[in-house]
Amino acid sequence: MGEKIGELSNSKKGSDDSGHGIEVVLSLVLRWGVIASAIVILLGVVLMITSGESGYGAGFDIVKLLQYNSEVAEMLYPTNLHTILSGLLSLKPFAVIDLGLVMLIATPIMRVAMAAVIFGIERDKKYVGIASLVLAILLLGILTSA
Amino acid sequence: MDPLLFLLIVLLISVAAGLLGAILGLGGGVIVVPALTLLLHVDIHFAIGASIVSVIATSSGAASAYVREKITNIRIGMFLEIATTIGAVTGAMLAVLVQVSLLFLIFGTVLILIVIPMVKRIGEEVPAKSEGDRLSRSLKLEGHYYDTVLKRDVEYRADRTPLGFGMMYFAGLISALLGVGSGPFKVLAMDLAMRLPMKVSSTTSNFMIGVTAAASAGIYFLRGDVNPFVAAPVALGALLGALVGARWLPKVKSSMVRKIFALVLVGVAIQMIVRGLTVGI
Repeated sequence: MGEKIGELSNSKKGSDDSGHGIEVVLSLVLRWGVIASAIVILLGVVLMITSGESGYGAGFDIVKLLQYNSEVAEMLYPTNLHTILSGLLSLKPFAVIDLGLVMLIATPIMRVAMAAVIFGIERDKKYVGIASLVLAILLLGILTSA
Repeated sequence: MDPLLFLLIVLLISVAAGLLGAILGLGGGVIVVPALTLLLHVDIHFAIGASIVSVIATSSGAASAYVREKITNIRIGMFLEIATTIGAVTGAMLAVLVQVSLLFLIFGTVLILIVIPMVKRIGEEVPAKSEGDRLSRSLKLEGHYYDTVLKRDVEYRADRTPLGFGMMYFAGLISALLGVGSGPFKVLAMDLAMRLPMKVSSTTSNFMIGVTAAASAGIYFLRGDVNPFVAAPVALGALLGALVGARWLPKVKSSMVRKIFALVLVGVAIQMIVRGLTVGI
């Protein structure tokens, strides 16, 4: 990634197309974000199928797995970071899947953060402000929901 | 039903959702939610939780290709994300206060009315480059992309930016309030209000919807609406579909994208009206 950013600041001088490097970097952030989360989710699914076990109360019984009851949800699968992490320690299949899902949700947020950094390198003050504002609103949304 | 068969069916449905979503700039909720609830009798909460995951997977998967090919306009996307994320956050806060069924009816009807001006321009390939407005000139909300179908560079500049910005706020607001994807409203804001080329609108919407969904994903997760048994095959399928769809879009005519979009829009509107009539009575 460091190389790519280096490329970007060099290419900036040579061309009038000021948005050349940002496309490459953001595309890489998105690509690696989805690849990494897909690998983790797939790992969890394989773990679930081979063990025939979700790691939580419902086992691998489809009726129980699809029963919606928000009061007992946390007994059937993790619903927050804390339970995901504790489930990961004992390699519970649903905890592994949820780690992958959290990584997937984090990918667009990382993309906004990286955009702010690159606009900064390009010394585009207006867009550093815009990207930082979006990031701040996103974090505010996440903090108020937690 | 056998759990493995369930996983396989959900995976295939999500491939289709990712494919269509990547081409139209939507998240695929329009396919995922009715397929899960009507076909597989999955609870609506899980279906909506899974559709949020589908939105993020489709957005990030397809955007990684579109951004590199420079069809997506990053500046326009980033600027408009201010409006949609504020909309999403206020929507999530208001969700407990408003009567959802009425909103479904109102916005379902609004969508049907919006299809009409879209149909009037149905055959249009790309609009002429506009003069723009003060905001779009000062923020450089403009660009060009190479259209492989027309075999030429297409130049464009955003027009009526304040109107587009306002529509984007509503896109985020409605999406968080109702748990529906914000994609249709985003594409409309860029296509109808800002007069951007269809492929720029759909890919820039695609780029943005992941961020809007991420703003409200935490709430659904904590509420227990994201069921890993449903969300895992949705995430994997939507990603696969989005990666394939992103390879197709450059080869499809813009007017064709617009036609499919208008058709899907009617589908979304009908779904919203049906949910308005059945939810909370």
